[in-house]
Amino acid sequence: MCIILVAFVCLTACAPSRFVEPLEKKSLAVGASIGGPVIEFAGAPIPLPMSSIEVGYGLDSNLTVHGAWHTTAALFGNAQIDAGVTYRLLHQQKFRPNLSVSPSFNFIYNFEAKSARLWPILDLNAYWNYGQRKNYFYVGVNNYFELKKTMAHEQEQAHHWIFSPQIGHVFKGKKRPWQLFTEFKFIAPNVDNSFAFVPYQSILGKWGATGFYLGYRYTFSKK
Amino acid sequence: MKKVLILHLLIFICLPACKKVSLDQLAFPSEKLTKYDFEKYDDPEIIIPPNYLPNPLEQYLIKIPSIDNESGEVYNIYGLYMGDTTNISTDTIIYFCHGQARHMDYYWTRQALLAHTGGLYNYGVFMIDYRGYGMSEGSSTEQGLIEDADAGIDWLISKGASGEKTVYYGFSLGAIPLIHRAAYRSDFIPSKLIIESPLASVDNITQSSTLLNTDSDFITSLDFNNVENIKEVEVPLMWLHGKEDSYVAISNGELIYDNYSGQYQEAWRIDSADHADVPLKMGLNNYISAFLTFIRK
Repeated sequence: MCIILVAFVCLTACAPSRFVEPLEKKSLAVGASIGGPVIEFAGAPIPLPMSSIEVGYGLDSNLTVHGAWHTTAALFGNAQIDAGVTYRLLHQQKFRPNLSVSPSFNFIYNFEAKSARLWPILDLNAYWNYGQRKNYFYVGVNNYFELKKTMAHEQEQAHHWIFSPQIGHVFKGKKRPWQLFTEFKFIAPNVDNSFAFVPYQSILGKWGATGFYLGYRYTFSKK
Repeated sequence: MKKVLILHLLIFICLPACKKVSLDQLAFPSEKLTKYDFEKYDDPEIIIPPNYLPNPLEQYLIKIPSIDNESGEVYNIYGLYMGDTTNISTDTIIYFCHGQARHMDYYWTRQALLAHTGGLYNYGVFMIDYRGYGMSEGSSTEQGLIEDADAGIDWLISKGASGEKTVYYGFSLGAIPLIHRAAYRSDFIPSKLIIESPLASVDNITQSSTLLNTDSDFITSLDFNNVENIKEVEVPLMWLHGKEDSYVAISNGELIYDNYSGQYQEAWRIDSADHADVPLKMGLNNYISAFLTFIRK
């Protein structure tokens, strides 16, 4: 039975951090990502192939608005989107990294059940550009907030705040119209997975789950 | 080029919303068989030492019609009765519904142990393979579980069984149809209900897996809710669960147990037991003793 759940358990971690580095002003980017928590399947660890299509637009060189459509969720009859903005708080100076913050939300609606949920999200990332192409790597934390007070059967909500540290790298094309990104997420590392119905795999053993994501983004520059 | 790209993007975005995927069938990892091996099956769910199964068993493979109430289609499913079928009207019967894996061969040792409990054929023991399991026709669905359980009950009734002398025993997935039938079937009310390692509800599993208040409808059309259904069960309840159950956490059983408000209830929380080894970790003598004491209460 767990197999049906593993297909969709990564509501909290179904995508990598969006647009860690804001786009240039008036630039438009479209891309796609795939990945999710790693689970044990048929004896081997595999990341769940949760896919999404993203779009972002640079309102300012420090502010990008972005949104994404979760394509795997759609396969199950759900409209799931996430949307938000990324704002650069600090610029890199020597060893001090750029710092960006991304408040957003994740919304899901099931057409058959006419049921909806919304979760606020806050990503905070430090990133370092390097080299001529201004590739960058980043470390940060993804925060999900559950606003409902109870779970099924009137159980008290045990996790109002789910935090997931993450590290990633963004590789840019030579002329910089495209980006290839990878991310590892340490999902809910404070939660014991020993009795989880889904066979999560974590490099931290019985704590949380490890997520792995790949993505590609193409930028339409203002020029 | 740009138009082609946009067209592909639109197809990628829109198509999934038009064709809904369902993985519900994966909840039933059954195996089809052309014949049963029973005691010769070499990979049973639990291995019972031979001294607990000293006697050759009188067992009967029975074909039962099970009706899909929605489509009206009839499936032939199979059951295995251990004991003398001519004494069903006078014997106390254990009606055992197995877990989600494979087929009856896999659970044969459990049934055989129950058939030896309190002496050989002290109880007649009946087990069925749900649709899609073993030699049973069709494919499994949640509603099918309940219809198949009903088909088994109907067969027992046809042989003269009475509810007063029938005990339901549901293991894991098997607790779903038997809690449901004990709660809502009014023409055949069992004398007692035993549940081992049961799932609480599909909502509870979904939310404990995502850590969020997620609606299970986002994931599956399965809808079982043992926590609610147990509220309608009035017959005495025995619940067994491993404290170290890594597949269905003991908190699932606790929710069901807490919501029961019938005549009598007892809980067995077994140290170091995982999902399928409760009888072994409990100690077979203790398991048998607890079982007999409950049934004779």
